[in-house]
Amino acid sequence: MTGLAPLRRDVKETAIASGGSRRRLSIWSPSFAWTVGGLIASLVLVAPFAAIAGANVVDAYTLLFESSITSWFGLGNTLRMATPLILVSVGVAIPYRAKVFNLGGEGQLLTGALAAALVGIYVPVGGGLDIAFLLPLAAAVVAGAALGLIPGWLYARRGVNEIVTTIMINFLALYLVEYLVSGPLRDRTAAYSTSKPISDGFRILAFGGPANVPLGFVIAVIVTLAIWYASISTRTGAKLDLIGANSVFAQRQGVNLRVFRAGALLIGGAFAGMGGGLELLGNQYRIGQDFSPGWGFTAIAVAVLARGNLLGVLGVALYFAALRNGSQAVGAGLGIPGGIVFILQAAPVIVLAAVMGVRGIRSSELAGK
Amino acid sequence: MDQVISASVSLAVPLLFAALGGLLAERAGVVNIAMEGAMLIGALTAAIAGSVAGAWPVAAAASVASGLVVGALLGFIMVVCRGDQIVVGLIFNLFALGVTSYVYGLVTRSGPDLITAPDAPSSSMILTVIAVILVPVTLLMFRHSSMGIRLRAAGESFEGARAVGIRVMRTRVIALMLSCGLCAVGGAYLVLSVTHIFVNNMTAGRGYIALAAIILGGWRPVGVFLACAMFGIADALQIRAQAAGSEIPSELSTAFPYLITLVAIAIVGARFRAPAEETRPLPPKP
Repeated sequence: MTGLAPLRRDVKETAIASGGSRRRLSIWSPSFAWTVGGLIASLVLVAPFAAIAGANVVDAYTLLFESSITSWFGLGNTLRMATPLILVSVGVAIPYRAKVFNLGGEGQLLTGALAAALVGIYVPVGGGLDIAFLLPLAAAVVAGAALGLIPGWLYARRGVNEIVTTIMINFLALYLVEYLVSGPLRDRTAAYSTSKPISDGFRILAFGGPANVPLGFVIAVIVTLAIWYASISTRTGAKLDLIGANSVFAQRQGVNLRVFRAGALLIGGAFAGMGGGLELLGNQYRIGQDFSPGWGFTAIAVAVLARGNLLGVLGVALYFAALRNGSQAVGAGLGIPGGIVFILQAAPVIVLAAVMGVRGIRSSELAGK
Repeated sequence: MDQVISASVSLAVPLLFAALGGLLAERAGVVNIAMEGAMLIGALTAAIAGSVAGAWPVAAAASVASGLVVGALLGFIMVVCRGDQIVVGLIFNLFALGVTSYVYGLVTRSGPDLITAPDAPSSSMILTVIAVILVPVTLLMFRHSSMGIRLRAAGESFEGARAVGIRVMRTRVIALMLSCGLCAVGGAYLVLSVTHIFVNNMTAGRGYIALAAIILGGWRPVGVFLACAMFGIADALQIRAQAAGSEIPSELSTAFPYLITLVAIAIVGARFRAPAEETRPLPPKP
């Protein structure tokens, strides 16, 4: 058995030998500075899109910041938006470290929310118990993990690439939710397709005050910090990175590729499911057709920009949540057509992927799978 | 019965265009997950060009041109810069959704005139014939043309391809351009022959079903054709069953293509062999 320190050294040396940069998983590396710089620079794009639509550019930026960061109300909204995004991004980033693409975050998040809704609607709850929400939250985690296990199992047992299976499962989860909320779970008193609300006793409260920070956000940050610490301080985390650096070498070192990759998808699913659960229990209280604005897809951009580093994920997810709220407010307030948020999120990822490619840092392995 | 056939056709044809396009790129060693985005951009271009020019062939041609531009852009990022094919493809779809919704919002400010394509009953027939003819054309191209052989060589072993003097990078960029051009026609068909108007996110995951059709078709033109036909027929029967008052909820039967793909992949496992070089970036020049 190898200890943690030798494993970490292996990761570093293998990464360098396979053409990666020496400090590629460190927040303080130059490439991280590039990422942060690129994200901030991409904000410049707001100007032409606002100007073409005939809006005042200065007004656009003022509104962008006010509705996302510089007002208490905006900041609270950003944290609320960030809560599920952080967790589902962690769910994409963990497998990404082992070069496994979890493109199923959206489906895992929805399934998690669905499981939490089922428990929240049908399980009776007594009043006055502050931690009652843990039960539906656990259901969300289990449901997300189960959905992550399907592509994991197909990979480990049948050798099937996870990319297509996770995409297919997304659609299955989406249609399942659509069916349930427009049929069996439908709230007949609502004008649109949505489930009945969960019992009050299961709801996660907010702290109140001007920003009204939701408790769910605090939970998401604590969980992320915990898993980040585990990822840098355990041998399991180091083995995951070793697979990412060079899977052939990792296998020779005795790391079971199938178990680790399938396990990474399972754990990724659990986090995404938890994200859906927290959103349902702490913010929306019911699940409808528009439950997610595409967190699972944005999460892929977050994980890639953060290069799988979980502290980086926290930062990028917060930034994207602010961007979403900000650009939505700009669109509604100044009459700029929608869609800018996707452009602002996608453009830096595409540029970064090109830069990483040119510099020879690969996210899909050279040797193939 | 006639209605089922025509519904199957209108569902299968855009899928077939996109899947044949995706096949071209994959056989050249580039996985094109950006099919969804290319279809969406092609659909919007066809709608705007159709409303301005008034003739559907002009709209279809403009759509192809938009696809070629998208393909060139993706080729630059994925092949020339060696950007990760999966990340770039997937995130490009997000980008395309953003760009098309923005443009859609701009041009519909004064009403839906600019995104309404002319009613052209002949377009469906002609585009369907083109799509079906493309199946043997692709097959013959892969087997007998020098372009097809170069393309497959680039997809199976770039060291080998390079050793016999094939310019792998150029071949892949061209394949990706043709690929996105075909996807764009698929999107154009949706606008010109089915809806006659552009709607935000109107491709609704068809690019991903095309991805499934390529896998189910075993990376072969005829197989891809059969997979698309099956999806089209299944979808048409589903719509008909709904109209006849079937008990099966529409959401569950809409999920059918995804389910069948998942089950098929689970059963045959890794026996579906993808082109060897897929997703592997070009190594630097020695």
